[in-house]
Amino acid sequence: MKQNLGQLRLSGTAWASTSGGWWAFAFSCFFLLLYGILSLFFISFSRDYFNGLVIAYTILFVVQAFLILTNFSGLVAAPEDFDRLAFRPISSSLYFYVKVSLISFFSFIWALCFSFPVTLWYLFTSYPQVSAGFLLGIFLQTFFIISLSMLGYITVVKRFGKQKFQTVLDIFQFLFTLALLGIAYLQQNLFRISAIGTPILLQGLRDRWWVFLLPSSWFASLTAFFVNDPMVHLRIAGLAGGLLTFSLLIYILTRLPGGYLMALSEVLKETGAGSPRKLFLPFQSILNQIPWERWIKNRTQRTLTRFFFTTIFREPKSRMTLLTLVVVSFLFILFLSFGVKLPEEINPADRYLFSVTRTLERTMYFISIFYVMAVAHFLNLHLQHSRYYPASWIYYVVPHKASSILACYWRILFTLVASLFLLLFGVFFLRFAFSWLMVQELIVVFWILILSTQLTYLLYPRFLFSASESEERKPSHKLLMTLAVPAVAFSVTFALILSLSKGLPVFGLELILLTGIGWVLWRKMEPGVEKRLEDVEV
Amino acid sequence: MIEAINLRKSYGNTEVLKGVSFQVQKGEIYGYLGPNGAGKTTTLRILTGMMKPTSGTAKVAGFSVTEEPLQVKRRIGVVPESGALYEYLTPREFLTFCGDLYEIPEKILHQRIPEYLEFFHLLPHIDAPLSTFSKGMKQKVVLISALLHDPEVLFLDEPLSGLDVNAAILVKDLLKRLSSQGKTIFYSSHILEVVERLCHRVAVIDEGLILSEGKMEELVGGEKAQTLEEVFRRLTKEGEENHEVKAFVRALQ
Repeated sequence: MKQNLGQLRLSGTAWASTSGGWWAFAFSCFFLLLYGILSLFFISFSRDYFNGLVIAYTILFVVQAFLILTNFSGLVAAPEDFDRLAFRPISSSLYFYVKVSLISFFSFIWALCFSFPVTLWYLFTSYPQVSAGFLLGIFLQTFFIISLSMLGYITVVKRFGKQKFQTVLDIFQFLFTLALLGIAYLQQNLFRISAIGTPILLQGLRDRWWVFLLPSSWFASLTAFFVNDPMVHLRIAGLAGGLLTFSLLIYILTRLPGGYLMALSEVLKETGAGSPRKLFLPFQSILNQIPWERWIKNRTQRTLTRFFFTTIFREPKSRMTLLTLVVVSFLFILFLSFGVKLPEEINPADRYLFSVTRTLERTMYFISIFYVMAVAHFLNLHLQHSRYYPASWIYYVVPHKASSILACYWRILFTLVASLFLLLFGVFFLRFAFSWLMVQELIVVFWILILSTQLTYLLYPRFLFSASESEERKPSHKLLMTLAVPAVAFSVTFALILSLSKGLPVFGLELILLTGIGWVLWRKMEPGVEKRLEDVEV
Repeated sequence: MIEAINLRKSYGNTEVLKGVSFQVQKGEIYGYLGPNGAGKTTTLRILTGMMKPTSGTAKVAGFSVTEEPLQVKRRIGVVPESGALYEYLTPREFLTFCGDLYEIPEKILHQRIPEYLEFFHLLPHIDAPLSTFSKGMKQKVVLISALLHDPEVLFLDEPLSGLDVNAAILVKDLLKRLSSQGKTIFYSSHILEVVERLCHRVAVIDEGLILSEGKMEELVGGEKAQTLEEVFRRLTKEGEENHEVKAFVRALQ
């Protein structure tokens, strides 16, 4: 205990060291109770848990994609630009303006990519007017938000002055960042949250690519098992398939950018095609054909814009992100759009209106989330050096190095606080953008997630340490087998039930994937192989 | 050309600069010495318009760094301590980018870039990504980017870092020549020998205060020392350091 307290003192958590972490535990109980009461209240209104679960999961993935999209220096105000550009004759407002313009531009392109398959879908299902309305919705939404942001920024600066604006922005940034970090934290831990996933993932397997495929199959399986509606099955099937692809690409994007690029580079060199940089030359050439430089009269502004454009196509992480997201968004929405079907009972006269409303709602839903996240993340990066930036204290609150039950309680507390902010953020956003129903779904979903987190944390506290810590207490081969086999068996069983009852190809695909996962697990558990894998894995 | 009057800078409750004042004349090379955390980089950041002082004023090339930072920035060249390059660009692209920001006429810029690269023996690498460059090569590109727009004042923070002996000699000669042409150079460094040989006047700063300032002979004579190193050690609490070294060695044993 002394050692643990020492570690926490070193981490700057003096409060924790004096209170022994029991306060943290008490707080976690309090929040658990709060969530319980809230969710009980909302469950009584809505029974569509699994639909809600899928929505939440989709949101998490979309958020992840947004974070990736905005998390590279090509698009956002990068803190490292300070050292490179601050002493050069560029005013901060110009820098801000160029960055915001580029964010808007890429947001628009991305939103267009995102919605293009749905537009096509409507076009081919004899609703050309809806397609037009859909595209118009995207345009209006994009320009509305861009104009509003810019006008808002200028008005507030003029009205209150930069100093006060900075303070207000800092506070908003603090809340946004907290919500975002909460989302990111939950998203990262989504695989840990499931009581079934926890034992597998904490055995040092969580970095394997196929781990990313598990949740989608579970969702699909569970939904099909509990919900007796063919239309819901179809939509979930599409979603699960989309998530499979999405998960895999996200994995490639987030876990392997360096290695993937290097491998690609080697392959291209071997085949004589040159470096991957050449792959982007056509895109650059197309952009170069557009006489955009003539439109920008200010030379500094033009230089910065040209420079940021170059960054996007040159910086390895940026271009991989860009390419992958465009591909992913197409695939993702392609799958989602299979679920877009109008109810048959609607009067033909009302069908057009209904289609437009639903389509615009859906468009607004995705694009709004995107903008909120992009702007929040932008502010987060822009103000990273502000004294409100919570990154530092998050490390104190979540002492990854501390190997104690105490640390575990701290994590619970952090998850709960982050979730609460997320919840407030979600309620605020969804309530005004959409309907109470969606708010209820969100709350129910998060209650489920949080409850399972609490249970998992309390039942398996020793599994909740980081990879380096788990190295110290590597579980035995037998334990690994005991925990992993039932988990895989669970997934395979549901996938089997689903495949047999619905006969949809996507479930067959999932079955194949799960078989593959089983095989990998088996290989992993084979003592000799395990040793060899450990040698090669980083 | 550079004038700092009672500059103060605080981060929260910590006061990093406690009233720094000095003047640098045109054509002068001004050495700015101090141990780690003395306030050198903070001073440099304030003078280059990267940061605002908590109080006090500073003028560079006749313009106030707080009132007219853009005017100042157009007239200065800066070699920061680290992280000044975009490594995915080539020297040609990076220098064109820098030149464009200073609005150097394009014809002159395209002529100047190869010339400067040639001077630093980097011309063969003009289209290679900067990520493939060694530390010394990168430092040369940073130096070129600071000189490209022919600034009136140069702010250098450890400019010889990473350079080989020949390149260091080249840079030192270049700085002397620039100074003789009327350029003002603010030289911040830890390498006392270089400062001793290169600078016309030197200031020693510690804990946010200038402890001593003057020409080399004045500094050495005033402290009754033989070398600048001796002056530096005396001014920055030599006795305490010796005591700390002894304590550290004891702890190691």
